[in-house]
Amino acid sequence: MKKNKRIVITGLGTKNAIGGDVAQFAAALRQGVCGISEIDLFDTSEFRTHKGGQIKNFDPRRSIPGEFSIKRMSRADQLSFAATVEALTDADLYPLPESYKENMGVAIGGGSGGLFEAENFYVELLKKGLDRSRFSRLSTIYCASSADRIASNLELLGPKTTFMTACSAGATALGYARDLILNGQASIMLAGGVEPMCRITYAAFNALKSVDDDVCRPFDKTRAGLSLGEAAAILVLEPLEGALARGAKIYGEILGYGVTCDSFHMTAPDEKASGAVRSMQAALKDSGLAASDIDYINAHGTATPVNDVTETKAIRDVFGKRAYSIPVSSTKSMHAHTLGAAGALEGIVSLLALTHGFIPPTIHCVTPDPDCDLDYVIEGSRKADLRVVLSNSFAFGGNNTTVIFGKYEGQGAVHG
Amino acid sequence: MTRQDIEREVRDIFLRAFEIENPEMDVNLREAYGFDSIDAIELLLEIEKFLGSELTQEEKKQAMDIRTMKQIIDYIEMLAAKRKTPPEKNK
Repeated sequence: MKKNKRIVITGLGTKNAIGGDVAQFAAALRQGVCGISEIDLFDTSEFRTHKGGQIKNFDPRRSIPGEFSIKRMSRADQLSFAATVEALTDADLYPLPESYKENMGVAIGGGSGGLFEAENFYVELLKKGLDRSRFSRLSTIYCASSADRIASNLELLGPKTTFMTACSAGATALGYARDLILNGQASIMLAGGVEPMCRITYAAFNALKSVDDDVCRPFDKTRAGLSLGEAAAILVLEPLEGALARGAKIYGEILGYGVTCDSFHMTAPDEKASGAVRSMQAALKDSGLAASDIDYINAHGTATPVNDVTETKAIRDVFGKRAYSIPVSSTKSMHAHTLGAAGALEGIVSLLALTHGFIPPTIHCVTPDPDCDLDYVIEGSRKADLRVVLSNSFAFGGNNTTVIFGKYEGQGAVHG
Repeated sequence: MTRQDIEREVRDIFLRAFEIENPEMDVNLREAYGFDSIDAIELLLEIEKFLGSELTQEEKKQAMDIRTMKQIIDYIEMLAAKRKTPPEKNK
């Protein structure tokens, strides 16, 4: 691909367990706030675990402007559209000017889509019978619904797609959106991810015994699994020259990304970590960077016994001795694992780290596993002047994506 | 059940189920409020709940031509009257 353009990020929006918006999220990351608590979105009494990174007190009508109907929008649709409005407002593109609509697209990573509403339909069906159940609850079950609603609400006419590669979907959406702009298929993109909490996903991870019954403890020797979370994370991507021409503020740049697969196992990573290694190497190659250029790694860091040791090995394999001097943290310890949204949410984390000059910590890691021997920033957030951040997303099925973000200095640069 | 009772209930259904506040009586609901075919089917379920009895296939077919609030209220009034006066054969 001809890289005759630099692609920058000019707007951010999020809803997650520790941030009702980006400003709140940045403060929480810096303070090391834990958003993992008892779930009250649905009854967890029959489950083995009861905690998660739920977005508490979400009121769609307070987050979505009144001109947009929320009728028949799933929780995922509502969260992602609320984050979209925040990102566009942040980018000084809301209300969206008519001239942007034709060449603006949307790429979203997702997972559970409208499953929560579908579950509610079946609850109603079992209680009241088919004739008394509102089947419109099923109309948003498909994962692409959130991108559909974003596009139709904003009357976008550019490319639209949804990735469903589990926990790497949000990261892949960012890379793909960058490619669409580089290829001239879109002039500006909304890219990100969304994952709502729901009973089926919660049950599935419980059945796999992948969930810690307390809070997740990435890289800790007593870690016992991940904490499930929910989030929407939306970023506005555009070419640097376009951003400069309209006087936009600029959070940073997507320098490159890599996508690989393990072809190994449905839920376990390749123990040799070759998929993760190749993902980071592909991202470095795409960025034209050397291993020595990376200042901070936002790890996948799920806190499952196998992920953390495998990811650590992969980082050692890619960076050699330098692995020991690169801070690595898992912000999932704060906002939990947001699956389809994770790569995009952690993209926002990476950009906030670059613009605000800090490294967010890995909380709940008290005694690192001897096999996890890197600098996991366990003492709390750290001041740091970062130039390049690498963010890993390694998903079930061996779906690996790494995105590399760069600091932007010049007209419009955001400083935290 | 008066016509006012029916109107109050229909307005409540519209607000609760379709997010449509105080629809006008004589406007085309699809054109004015985006009331679509999924809404129409769910409105029939709500009407069944309101009347406390199921609609026959014939009655559901009669609803196909409804376009306005006024027609919905007329329709429910007709259904309610039918239920108050059982057909001859059931006497």
